[in-house]
Amino acid sequence: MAAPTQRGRSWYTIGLLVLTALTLLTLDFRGFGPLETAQSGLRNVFAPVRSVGDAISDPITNGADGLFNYGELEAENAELRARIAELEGQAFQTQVEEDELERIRDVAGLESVLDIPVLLAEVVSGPLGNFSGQSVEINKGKLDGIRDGMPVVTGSGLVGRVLEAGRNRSTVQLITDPEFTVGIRVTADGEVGLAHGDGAGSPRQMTVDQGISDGVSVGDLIITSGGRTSRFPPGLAIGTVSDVIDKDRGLELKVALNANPTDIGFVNVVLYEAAE
Amino acid sequence: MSPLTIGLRMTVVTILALALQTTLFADVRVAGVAPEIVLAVAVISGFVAGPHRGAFAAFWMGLAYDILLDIPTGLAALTFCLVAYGAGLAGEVAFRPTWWFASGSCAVASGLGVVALAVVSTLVGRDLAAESLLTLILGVALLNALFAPAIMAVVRWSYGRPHELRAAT
Repeated sequence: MAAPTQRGRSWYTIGLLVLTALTLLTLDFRGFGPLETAQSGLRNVFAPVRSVGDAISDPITNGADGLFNYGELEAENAELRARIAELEGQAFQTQVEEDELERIRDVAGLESVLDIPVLLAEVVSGPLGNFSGQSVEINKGKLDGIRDGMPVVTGSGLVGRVLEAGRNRSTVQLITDPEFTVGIRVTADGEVGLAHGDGAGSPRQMTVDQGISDGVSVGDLIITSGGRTSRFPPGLAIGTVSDVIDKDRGLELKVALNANPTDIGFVNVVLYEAAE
Repeated sequence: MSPLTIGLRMTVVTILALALQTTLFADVRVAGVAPEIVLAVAVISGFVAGPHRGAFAAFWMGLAYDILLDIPTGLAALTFCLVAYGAGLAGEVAFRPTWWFASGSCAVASGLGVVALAVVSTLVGRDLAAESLLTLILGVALLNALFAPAIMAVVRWSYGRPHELRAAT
């Protein structure tokens, strides 16, 4: 009689666990406040364990990188030196144009995205697991003034937004995440639309499939549109139009991203909070 | 061994597995795939402790995994406990305390675990996989198989010898 009893208890346990998991999933999707607080608290409790783990594992991963990727790193260094020389030449001209633009903004009384303060942060970890979506972790959090939803940029442009700010670390949702959406504007003709990430398979591309009707061509520049309720200020660089596809409901644009979200070491968090 | 001692040991093992998963194995990847150490511990718990206790331990491991790796709460808890339960049932029939059994069965169960995670995440409307599903299944199965003998030793230490485990049940 012992075996059937044990089997019965076993079924009872698995049933209860499955029900509990499904309840938690439902609560998570409904954005149940106490659950989010508990999640955030547990992550903060575990943060010191991860810091110790990072301190131990960093030399190992750096050593492995040096050992197995030395040739690759050398070639990359040479390529970067050449690129720096080229960019230094362009920087002078850009500075002249920026000064001119700033003068015009002053005269017109317009705000510039350059006026918004930013906070430099280091990317301390890529996606933590195989199922963590398109996200990275940075070494700054609420104590440094970071809040949920703030835009995250590199020198090349928008790379993501703060998904969740912890005490000392924050999770950044990358621009390539299919769930990442941003209002965009085509600089050439002022058309506005809504763009979303194309997923891990297209790490340097977004798609604009809402709002564009006409007059956009390959090579046009794409920036954030901003607006009263947008999470992003206007004028953050996103990329250039790489393809224009004619669809029944309007144009679909493929946007080649300026920044490379798969290869970022440091980022700037734009300390911008959208109006409630 | 008392249930409290087993619980404490498994808590330590889970924390270590989570620390490894979120630090070293967040960076060290093969073809973009990281080993799923916590899933491997859950699966082997099923083999060693049986479906009932294995599923119970795997649920809590999955819940911690959900929270720390920022995926929908309950997703890994659900899949890990189901996979550990299945591993426990299979282990009742065919468990062999050898390294090849640990590696082979952990590879198969981990591959199934990845499929379950991918299916459930798609069902709840979140496509979370960072690589193609086939790459993930093969990569995780292979990497988890490599670590399985060591994990088997640690999990068996946590649960004590078989007669101690039966006494605690």
